[in-house]
Amino acid sequence: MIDFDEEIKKFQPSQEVDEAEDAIYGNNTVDVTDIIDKIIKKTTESK
Amino acid sequence: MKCYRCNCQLDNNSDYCLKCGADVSVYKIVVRASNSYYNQGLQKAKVRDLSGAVSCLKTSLCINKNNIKARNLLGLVYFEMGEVVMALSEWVVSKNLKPERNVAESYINRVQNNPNKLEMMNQAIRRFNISLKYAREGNYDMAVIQLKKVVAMNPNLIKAELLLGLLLWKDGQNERAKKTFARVLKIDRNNTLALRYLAEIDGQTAKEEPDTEAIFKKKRYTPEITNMSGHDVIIPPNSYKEPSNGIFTVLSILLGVVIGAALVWYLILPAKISNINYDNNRIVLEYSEQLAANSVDMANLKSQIENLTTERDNLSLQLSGYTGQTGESNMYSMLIDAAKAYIDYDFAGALILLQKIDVALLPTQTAKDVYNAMLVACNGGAERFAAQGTKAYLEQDYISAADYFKAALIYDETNDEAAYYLGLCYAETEDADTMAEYYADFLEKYPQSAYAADITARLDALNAANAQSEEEETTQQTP
Repeated sequence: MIDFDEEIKKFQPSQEVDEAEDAIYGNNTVDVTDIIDKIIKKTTESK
Repeated sequence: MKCYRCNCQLDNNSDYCLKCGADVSVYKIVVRASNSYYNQGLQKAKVRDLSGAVSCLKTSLCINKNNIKARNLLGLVYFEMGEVVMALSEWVVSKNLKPERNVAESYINRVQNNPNKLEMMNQAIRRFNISLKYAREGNYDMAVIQLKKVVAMNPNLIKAELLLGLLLWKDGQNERAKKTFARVLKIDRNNTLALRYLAEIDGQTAKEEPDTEAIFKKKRYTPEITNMSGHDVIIPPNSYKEPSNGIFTVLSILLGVVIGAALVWYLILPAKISNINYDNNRIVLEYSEQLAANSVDMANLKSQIENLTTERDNLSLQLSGYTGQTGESNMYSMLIDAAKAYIDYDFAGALILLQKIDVALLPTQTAKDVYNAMLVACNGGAERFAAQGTKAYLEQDYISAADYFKAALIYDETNDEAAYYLGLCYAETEDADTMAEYYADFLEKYPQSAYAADITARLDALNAANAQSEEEETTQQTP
């Protein structure tokens, strides 16, 4: 059975065009290659 | 594949970068995994499983954020789902990572070049946010009204469709909710929420209708039996049957054709002819008007020609007044020539030229004054020439004297004294015949002259001398 209120909570507001700048700046995520690079650097430094 | 450190092209057979020496074995695995997720996302996007595609592409980017293709495709999928800002965000980041030869640039340009559409999509997002707020506050009716507008503005905004479907379902409008969710599934085939809600609605519908057999069972038709009264009228069925002979069909068709042709002839054709006549008359009228206009133009042109001809004649006349034999120009020319002759003391020549000049045609008073002055000076020359001739005669310069006397006679033909002394000069310079001829001429011109007697005596003497010389010649010739 679906709980309407719970379902409503799952809906998040969409970003408007005015908030595009923040969305772009917030897009700088860390990926696996960054993690591997950090690991390699730490390994190299510890040596 | 390029090295993550120095961006140099990696060798497929080596686990190290040939330029910077970085260990790229794990990096290659990571990149391949990212590409694999990208491929999955692409396959899902092709079959419109947008939710699945988003999930795969996000995973691909989590593994390798520099996967430009995955980022561009993710932006495309977001745009298809109505999330404009998220799409633009992905494309901008993609363009930042790879500024040249990136398709994201064309996507961004296309969105920016259609500002009206972008504004409408932004408005839809704004209204969706407002309607979500209403829904959370419990104003379901307001939320539904707003969401209907949102859906009209941007039918691809899946969130809005899902929320609208949910609200309609809550309101008990199951069928409309189902239609809304069906629209979502058209855009995003495997949208989890839409599938779940539809399953719930279908489940609920099935519970509310336990006797499904009754829904699908067809009702059998049973005719009603009624008793008749005395007022009922029984109408026997009509037993008329149309003949099935083909000839009547053909005749009917022919008759129809004839009637149609007659209708065309009497109704349509006159109207057509009338239209054509009207058009022809209009054309004739236009040509007549044009002809009339041309006639007016021609009359105007003729009048202009006449005016110009008259003007030309007047100008020619004026020109001849300036340049003709009796024109001002010629008069001035002769006046100048006369002035030159006068300056050179050629009074005879000057006087001759002055006599040719019509003083009335001289345009300026100055010219007339000059003319009169020269004329007076030259006219007085008759006496001056005569005096000079007399002087030359006394000096026995008979030839010069003759010239002066001739000049004096030019000025004044009636000067018999000059003519007489000219005759005396001829007596010294010319032969007897010339003298005789001159004396005869003198007597003819000046019969009343005081010198006529002397000239007569001279002429008689000459004639006598001639006669005597002829006798002597005749005597000598006869032996």
